[in-house]
Parts: sequence; C-alpha cells; structure tokens
Amino acid sequence: MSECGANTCGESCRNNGKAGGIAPIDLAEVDAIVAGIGRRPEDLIPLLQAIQKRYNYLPKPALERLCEITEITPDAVDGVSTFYSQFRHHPVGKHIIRTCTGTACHVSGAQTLYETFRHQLKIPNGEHTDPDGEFTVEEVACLGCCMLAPVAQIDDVIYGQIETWKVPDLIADFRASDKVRRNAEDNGSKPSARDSVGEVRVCLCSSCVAGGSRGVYEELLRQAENLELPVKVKDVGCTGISFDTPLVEFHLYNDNRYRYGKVDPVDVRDLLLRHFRPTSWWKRASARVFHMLETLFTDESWVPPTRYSQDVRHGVEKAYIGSQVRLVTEHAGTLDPRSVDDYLRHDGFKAMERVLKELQPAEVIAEIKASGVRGRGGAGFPTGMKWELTRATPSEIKYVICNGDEGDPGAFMDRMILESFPYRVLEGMVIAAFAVGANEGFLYIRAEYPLATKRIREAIRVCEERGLLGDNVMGTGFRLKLKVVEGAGAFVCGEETALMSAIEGGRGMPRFRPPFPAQSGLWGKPTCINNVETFASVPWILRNGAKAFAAYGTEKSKGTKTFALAGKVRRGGLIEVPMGMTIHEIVNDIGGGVPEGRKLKAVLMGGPSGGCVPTHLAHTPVDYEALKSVGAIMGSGGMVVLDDSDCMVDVARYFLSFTQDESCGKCTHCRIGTKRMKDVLDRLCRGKGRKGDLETLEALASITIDGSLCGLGKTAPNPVLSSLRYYRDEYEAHLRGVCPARKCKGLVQYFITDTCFGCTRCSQMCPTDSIPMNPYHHHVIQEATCTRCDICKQVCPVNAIEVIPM
Amino acid sequence: MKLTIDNRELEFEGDLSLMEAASRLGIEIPALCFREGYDYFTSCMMCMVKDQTTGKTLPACSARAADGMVIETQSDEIRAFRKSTLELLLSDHLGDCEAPCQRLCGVHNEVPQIIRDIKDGQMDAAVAHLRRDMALPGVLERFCHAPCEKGCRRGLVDESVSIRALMRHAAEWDLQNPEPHVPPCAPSSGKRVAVIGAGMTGLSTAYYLAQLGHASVVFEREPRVLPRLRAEHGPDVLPDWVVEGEVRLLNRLGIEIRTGVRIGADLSMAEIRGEFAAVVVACGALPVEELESLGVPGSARGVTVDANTAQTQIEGVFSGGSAVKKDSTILKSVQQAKAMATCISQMLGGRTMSGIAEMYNHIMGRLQPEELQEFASHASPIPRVRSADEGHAAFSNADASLETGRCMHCDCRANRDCKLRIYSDEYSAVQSAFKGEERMPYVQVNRDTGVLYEPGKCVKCGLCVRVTKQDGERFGFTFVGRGFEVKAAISLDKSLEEGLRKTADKVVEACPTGALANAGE
Repeated sequence: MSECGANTCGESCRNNGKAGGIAPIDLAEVDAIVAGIGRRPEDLIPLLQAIQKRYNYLPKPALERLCEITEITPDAVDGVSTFYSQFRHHPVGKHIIRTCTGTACHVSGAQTLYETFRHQLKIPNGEHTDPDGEFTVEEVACLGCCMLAPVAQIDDVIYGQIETWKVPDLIADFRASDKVRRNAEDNGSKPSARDSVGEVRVCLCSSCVAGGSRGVYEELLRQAENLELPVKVKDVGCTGISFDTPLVEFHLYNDNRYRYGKVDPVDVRDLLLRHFRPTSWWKRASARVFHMLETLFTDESWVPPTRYSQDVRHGVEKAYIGSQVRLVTEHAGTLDPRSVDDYLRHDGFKAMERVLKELQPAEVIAEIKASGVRGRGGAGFPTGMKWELTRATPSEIKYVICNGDEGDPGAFMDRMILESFPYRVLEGMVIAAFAVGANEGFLYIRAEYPLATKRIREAIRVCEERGLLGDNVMGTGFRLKLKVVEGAGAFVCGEETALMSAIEGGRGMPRFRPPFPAQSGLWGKPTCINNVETFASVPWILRNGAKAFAAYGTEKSKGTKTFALAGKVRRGGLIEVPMGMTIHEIVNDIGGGVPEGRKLKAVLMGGPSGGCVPTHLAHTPVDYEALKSVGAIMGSGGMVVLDDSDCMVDVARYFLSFTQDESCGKCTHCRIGTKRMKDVLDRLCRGKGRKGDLETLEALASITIDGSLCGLGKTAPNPVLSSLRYYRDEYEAHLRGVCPARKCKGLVQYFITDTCFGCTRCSQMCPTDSIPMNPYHHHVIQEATCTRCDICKQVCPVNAIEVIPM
Repeated sequence: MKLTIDNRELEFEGDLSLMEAASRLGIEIPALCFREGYDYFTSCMMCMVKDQTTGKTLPACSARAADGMVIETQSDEIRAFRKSTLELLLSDHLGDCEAPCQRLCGVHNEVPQIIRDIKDGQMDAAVAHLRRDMALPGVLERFCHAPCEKGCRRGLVDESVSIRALMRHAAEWDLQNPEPHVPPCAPSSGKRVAVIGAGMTGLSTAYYLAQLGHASVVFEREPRVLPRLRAEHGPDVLPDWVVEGEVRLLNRLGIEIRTGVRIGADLSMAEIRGEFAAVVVACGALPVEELESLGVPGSARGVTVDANTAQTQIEGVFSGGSAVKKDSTILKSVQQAKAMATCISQMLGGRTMSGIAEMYNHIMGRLQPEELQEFASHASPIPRVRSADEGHAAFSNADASLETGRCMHCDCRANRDCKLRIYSDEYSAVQSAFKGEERMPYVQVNRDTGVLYEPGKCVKCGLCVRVTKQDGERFGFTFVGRGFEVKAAISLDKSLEEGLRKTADKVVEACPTGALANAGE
C-alpha cells in the first residue's frame, strides 16, 4: 500500500528518488522545526508545511520522526498529509510549474496549457516531473488572477495571459530570470528627503504582479531616485481594474489624477518626466538632453500610444468605476495596504474605537442586525444573528474566526480584500470579538494566497505594537489575540466545521450540524465564524450607521457586494456594487460586455456551487432570493461571463470535476454521486453518451443534494441542474455526438482551409508534428496525432485553421 | 418531551439521538457507519429519516431527538433514498458475495467454505455445510455434471478445482460414520406431505421438506428406492452402501418410505389428497395416459406446472424432475426439489408461493490478468489432483487435502453478515444502477493469515479508524487521501499485523462489509 496524496500522483509516487533535487534527510532539522513550531495536535499542518518547505516534499523518515517527538499520532500524520493537496509524498523537480484550473482559466484553455507544458518539458505519461528533474508540472486550484487567464505560476512567479505557443519562451524567460530573482516583496519606497509634490501609485497585489506591476514599480523607484524627482512611489490597494494592469496612477497634490493602463517598465521614465520636474538643475538638464537625444535617435517625440487610455476623464473607466459603490473596498487605489498610519488617516479604527469605548456588545449586535448585513461567504446567513447566538452561549472561552479559504475557482474578492485592506479586516474582527465575547481568534487563509497571508501577519504584528490588538486594545482593557492559520489546499475547508477541524490539525471533514459553531465550534467552544468580506464591511457599518448601509440594496439583501468579474468580458476585475444592480448592468456597463464579435451566453454565479444565469434572465438583480429563484446563487462573488463560444456541458463537467476532486470523501452521495455524475458528463463530452444519461444525471443530482452533509455536496449538482434547465438542447446535441460550441475536444477536429498559403508556421509550432511541412503549399493536419492544442490556430497569420465537428 | 416515530409515541428526557429513540421503540434503523460504543461519523447516510414537521431528512445516528418531532423511518421516499444510497455504494464495490462455483451450483452449495473446512480438517463442519444445501450428496456427487467446475476461476489459471470429488469426499466421509450428520430442521408444522416416487426428485423433496419442518411419506411402486438410477448404473457406480446410508439419514429425519405401493391401483389419488396437506408427483417420465390415470393434467412432454411455483393445475399438487421434463439432469431434479419444497412450505404456512429468495449477489465480473494473479498467488500452484479414474473412485484423504490447496477462495468471507449485502437485498438494490466508467483494480492485503483486507469492499465508514483509535493502537487505521480516492489504510504504510496488534477481532467485528474479515483458512 503505497498511497499518497490522492490528487497529486498516480504511479509516480513509487518512483521515489527518481526525480531530482532530493536532499538527504537530517533528522536534527526535523527536531529543529518541531522546536520552533510546537508539539501539539494543532501544530501538525504548520509542521508539515515547514517540513515540505525544507525538503520540497514530505520524506517518510521525517514523518516518522514527527510521530516520535510530538503528541501527534501516526494516523493523524498520514490522514492529514494525504488530505490536503498541498502536501507531496514524493520528491519533485527543482521548480514547480502550477497551471491554474480556475473557471476563467478553464474557459481560456487551461487544460491545453497544462498539456503544453508537459509536452514541452517532455514529461512521460503518468509522471509529473521532467527527466532532468528540473520542473514538476501540477494543476492548482484557482490562483485568483482570473482576469489574466490563463495563468501559470512557476515557483513564486505568476505569468498571465499565456498563449500556448509562447510556452517555450516562457520557460526560457523563467530560466533566464531565475538567477537574478530575489525575494518578491521589499518594504516599499524609502522615505525621501525631498518634499514630494505628488504620488505615483501602483498596486502590488498578486494578480497585478502577475500582470507585470512589480517590474513597473521597481523601475518607478529606480527612476524617481535617479532623476531625483519630488515624488513618492506608493504601493496601494488594488483598484480592481485587473483588465488594464499594470496600472499606474499619478496623483499630483495640487492638480489632477492621471491613470495609465498596461504600462511597460520602458515607459516609466517618460511618464515620470511628463508629470514631475527633477529637483536639481543638473538632473533637469540631463533629462532634457536625454530626451532630446532620444527624440533625435528615435525620430519622434513622446506620443502616448493608444494603450494609455486610462486617463480618469476617459469614459471607459468612468463606466467601470462610476456605478460602483465602495464600502468594503473604500479608498481602493489610495490606501497603502501596508501602512497602518495611512489606514488611520482614512478613518481606520474609528469604528473600533467607538465600539470599544462607547458601546455595549448588545448595542453592536443591534447595529449589525439593523444593517441587514448577511454572510458574504455564500449562504447569506444574517451576521447579526450569528453574533447574537455566539454571544448567548455561555462559555469562558470563545473564538472568532475569519474564513479566508476562498476556494471558488473564478473568485478572488477575499484575496484582494486581504491583500489591499488587511487592517480593515482586522478591525472588523476586533469588533466581532468584542460583540460575541471572544478573546482569541484565527484567520484561516488558503494556501494559494501567500501575499495575503504575509500582509495579514504583518498587519497583526503592527497592530500588536500599536496597541490595536493584544492584551489591552486601545487602552480599554479589551483583550484579543489573533493568529494566522495557513490552509494547505482543500476547498472543503471553506465549510465552517471542516475549517475548524483544519485549525485543530485534522482532516478537513465537515460534521453534522447542529451543534452549530456558535454553540460548539473550535475545540468545542462557541465560535463566531465569518467570511473576509463580512468582517471588512463591519467598520463601515459602525462608522456610518446601519441605516446608511441598509440604504443600499434590496428588501432582503442590504449593502454592497464585491464580485470578481472575469471570463469573456472586456473589463474584468474586482468590483463592488450595491445589491439590487442587475447582472446585465454589471456585465455591460461595468464590464463593457463580451469581446467584439461575440454574444453573451450566460453568467456563472457562485462558481461550482452556483448556477448560470442565461442571457434572457440577465435582468435578474443581485439579490440572494432573486438569484436563487432562477437557479443560481449569490455565492461568494465569483462571476464568470460566458460567450457563444463556450459549451455549457463542458462548463458543467468542469465544475463537477472540481467538486468531485475537492470532495472530502465522507458522505456516500458526495463521494460517489459526484463521481458518477462526472462519469456521465465525461461520456457526453467524448460523444459516448447513452440513452437515459440525462435522466441518470438528474437522479444522481437529486440524491447527492439530499444525502450530503455540507454545502459542497449539497450544491455540487447545481451547475448541472441549472445548465440542464436552460440548455437541455446542448446536452441532447452531445448525446448525438455534437458539440454546438465546438469546444469539446473529443467532438471536434482541426482543419486547414484553402486560405493557407504554405508559410509553414503551424508546422513549425505543432508540438506533436501533426502538420507535415510543405512550403508554399496547402498544409494538412494529421488527425490521428492532433491533440487539439490550438497552437496552429493561434499562430496562423491568415486564419486558415478552422475547428469543425468530427 | 415527546416525539413520534413511525406513528408511535415516545416520551424521553435528555440528550438522545433519533437512532436511540427509535431503538427504545424497538424500531431498527439501518446503518453502516454507526456502531454502538463509538462516536457517530455520519457518512453512509443509510440511517436517513424524515422529520414530517420540517420536511427535512436527518441522519438518525447523529441528529438529536427533539420535542414534537414526527419521524418517518420507512416511508416510500426514505426507502427509495436508501435504495439509491446502496446503489451508489454498490457502484464502487468490488468483490463477489458468493464465488462463481456457488452461484452456478443448482442447490447453491457453499463450495469455498466446505473446501476450507476440509483443508482445516474440520470434516464435521464440511458435512454440515454440505448437507445444509444439498440433499443426498453421496448420490448426487457421483452423477452431477458439476457446473461449479465450469465456472471455477482456477480454470482460468490452469484447470478448475476438483470440486465434485471434494464434495463427494466429504459426503462419503459422513456416510462411513456410524451416525451420519442430521441437518437442523425447523420445528414440526404438523403438516404431512405425500411424495409419489422415490427417485432423486422425490427423495430430495422429502429431505428439504423435513428441513422446513414438514413430515412426508414417499410412495414408490418399485421394491427399492432410486430404481431408475440404480438400474442404469449398477452397483459399481452407485454402491448400495451409499444409497442405504442416505436412506438411513432420511429415516432419521422422520421420512417414511413405502415401496411397492402403486398410486392409482393400491391407493387412489383422492385418498392421498384427502390424507395429506400436499402432494408431490415425482414419478419420473410417464406416458400421458398414466398421468391422466393419476388425474394430473399434462402433455406428451410431461406434467404441466406453473414455472414459478411447481404447482400443477390442481391446487396442492406439485411436480418436478423428469415427471415435468424428460431427461432432466440429476442436479436439476434436486434443484427443483429444493424450490418445490420451499413453495409447498410457503403454501402450508399460508404465505405467497414465491420460491427460494435469491439473496443479493454482487458480481465482480471479468478479472484482469493481474487480478487473477492476485487470487492465484495465494493458492497452491500444483496441477489438478485427479482421483484414480477421474470419476468413480474417491479421493484419498491425502489427495483431498492437496486439492483443497488449489482453491482460490473467490467468495466473500462476510457474505452471511455483510450489512451492505443484507440491506441491498432488503431494499432490492441493483448493482448496475449507477455503473461507473471504470472500476478500480482488485487488491487483497494480507491474504494468508489473520485479517484479510480487501480495500475494494470498503464503504469508507471509518469504523476501523475509530476502533483502532479508541483502543489505542500505535499505528491504527487512518483515512488516506480524500474524495473518491480515499482509502482506509494502516498509518505510515505499516503492515496489518502492526496496525492491529490488539484490535484484529474487534475491527473485523465492526467492519460492516467484508472489507476486513478473518481469512478463515
């Protein structure tokens, strides 16, 4: 029995030692890790993470050692280390390539990207590491950079919008930059001696960095220093304008704001000189000379290329920003996420101060109840009621937990909030803790969000230093200790009882409720557990009053909601809108509609737990009940737009594969029911559907909903049921072996039309040599070996390649 | 506090699960993952019940009883839900309840168990198992066409096991004892059945009727029993001591055999029908005229019977064997005798004649070569042992012992107490309802001694995990992996012995299926 992590390896785990980079194991190192972290059962996951960080996998001797020198038992070590997808039981290559499998990436060809990496690196079937042991290729749950889809991460570098034909260049780029890469995050702009006349703002959140903002930021720092400009280069919270990243905003204190989208580091110097004058006459002169020389040599004066269309006065951004209401993401694009002072200057901790110094817990709860705010994690349970229940359960010890295990593929709201507004989340947690009577709390943040984890940890440290957390918060005597717990890769841990089991150091398996966490939660104590966005909305409510909050929204859905708008939309990103806005307004007014020449097909709401809203229902408002009535859900805020090139059966299959893979395996119906549903969908997408398959799907969906304990299983069939409801004809077409959107690989083939003039480009790029080279002549694709990787179609200069039904 | 379960009220105090509440009312709720004395885990969902007041379905093992609840445990909706729950589990279940040899046997003889008994030298047990299902094995095993051997998996490796010779070996060992084994019988019903004809069909029917608690009188017009068989084969093939031995046993079961009595002449059919509660016509192939003289409707082919109940067109008169169909094989005759006895017993008890209830039987289907190897690797590699003339000479003890080693034991050790099988049977679950695209490979762990683990039969109930944890095993069972791929395994790849130092028996006892069982060899 040599099983290892269920999702990561098949046969290859038995090839111990075959892949490169295996460090010899010195058990003293394990002892040191244990000494640094702890020996209690709840230390298990951090211990495993530390061991894996050291060895790149979990060597068995290290695990055995762990059992010997800690209170942790072998069954826990084995059970936990094989439950979370982060853990590996076999050595891996020197670098790890992770291709994102989020929804937006999926509809942008993530599967093909994954296969292309494998192909380019010549990874044998059934293995995950190239023969040289240099790269291991894995699929990873959503990285939360949905507007840059498809995305891949090599070690800690994220690459966005990767076209499959560029994969070889990308690997080369990584190899070249590997030698010079340093620690990703520095500590910002050095305070300058000069009096600045303005700021330049850049976001360094994970998805903006994936879009290249770090290079721009560093160039800004360097050039500002070199040119001795009176400017402060500031790293700010994300504006959510992901579609135009890297985005640079010039904020002149006495003047206007100018924004530039899709900035390249080579443009930075010119942009800076456009708005700021060097402080010394020598720099001024030399800049001018440089500019003159450059103009001489390049024969043109600086003309902003068309892509610099992000001026604030421009209509596009106005539409994007204009109809949004920013409460949770207040001061986006202005606030330095790493500066507590900046937060304090922008009304930070005012709500907390009022709560701690002026209000009684019951008054806080009354205010929250009056605001009508409901849980933003998806279920929409009234937050005030949850707090009241926790408060009402008598106990010496209570906990408050922030659920940052945002796992929906296609959702990245919580990541952006944690990265851009860490202090706001902490403020909300302090208020909640005070209200329910908790003195200890945890922020559970998923493994794929290292920057969020880092920023929250830093914010906690700063707050403790400043007396904003700790034994005597703001001198009021209120005590709160907060701790970050890093997830280890399990979507199901977004479910509250599973999440608590993970914090306790166990397998993230949900349990039957009641008892609810408010009655018996973490270590059996009353626990108030809320989502990131819910906590982040609390300070605003207490500063501006419940009435002001409830003024936004509909009768039963109050306030605002953030959404991660992604997929086939022109302007995607993190948005915050008042409840009640219609999906049509969001997609068309904010998102700018689907790309040119395409038609809106549906909007996926709520990720793998949700459903689709078809075009004819696009006027449905964002409201918990209204969305439910059309078969979708509010969800945590993932909103993926599909156009007419997307296949609904493929999308349903995608979501089902996701939930099936993420099922903890406890309940019969979720464990086997989702698998059998996926079997049927796989069949349909391969054109092997059988009579009665759609009825089987419906039967399986119904029992899986009835027979699953937690939300994962209870909602897993939703994407299938909802697409069956609106697109049954597409399912029936698949039963006949036809994919109307020409998306399902098993049902289409690639074909070169007469337009081909024999440039040989496709032949050169084809990874499987399926297009024989025939210069100046019409090329032909060999059907048998074609893997439908789409590269030929991408590189053909005359669009001669068509996808046709089999 | 008060609640209602299946229309019965219960007053209770304190914290109580719905399962416990039901049990207080004597209502049993099915469950795989729950076991008294261990924490609930809520995974199998077999115990789902419905609260009428809220319309919610609740797992009875974990949901708490509350005042005013109105619980249904057996509604159509709940039964349908349990059926599909079982069907999901069955779609991911790998193994055979019964070995192919047993499935193919007309009388459902539990071949692998008997072979294990012989192998272990437990001849008493072998005979008891044999006689439980098979009437007159001493006679039958000399003539049986042995479909068991045609289905024997060993035949895919080299040659099938000599099952028939082994069964005959056990039967003759019994007949050579001064006191042959008397099978346990149901309490007497006080009803008497007349059997016309002391051929294999008639005697076997009488035997099975006796097991079911019904006395019978067998009428034979010839002077001795089994007249046709003995006439055709002679004493070399069917020696008298075998027949006499089997007859002695029949007598001990209270069966009266009257030879030389011709029905219609010496005794009228009317008289018989007046005296007996039922009549069995097992007189072999008869011309139509003779049938008519008996007053039993038939044709040139034989007596006309209802295929399901073996009842003729006359109520209370049954028929089987060659009387119904000429040239019936001897095994078929005994098979019909067993079915007929069951129907008669049902009729005598005032029940519907449904025949022998076929229990749910999970079937693994075709094995991959490596799976076959998995089975074969635990069996003796020697070629098939043949008796002196491969037919009428018996196995010596040494031969029998050698041959038993060749059996691959394809049956599930838990096939009598497996809850999955029992519930599947009760809820009429269908194995292929949710058939998957591909099945996992069949694996056995620790085949040869102590506890046998077949992961393919595991329903992931986690009882082994809880048992080993509660009893403080150092390397107990744990769940490895997650989702559809999750497995129960001994921690850190230790062996089963290391994982089950104190709890082997408890774990086997707790496992609701045959995933963990005593290898029993």
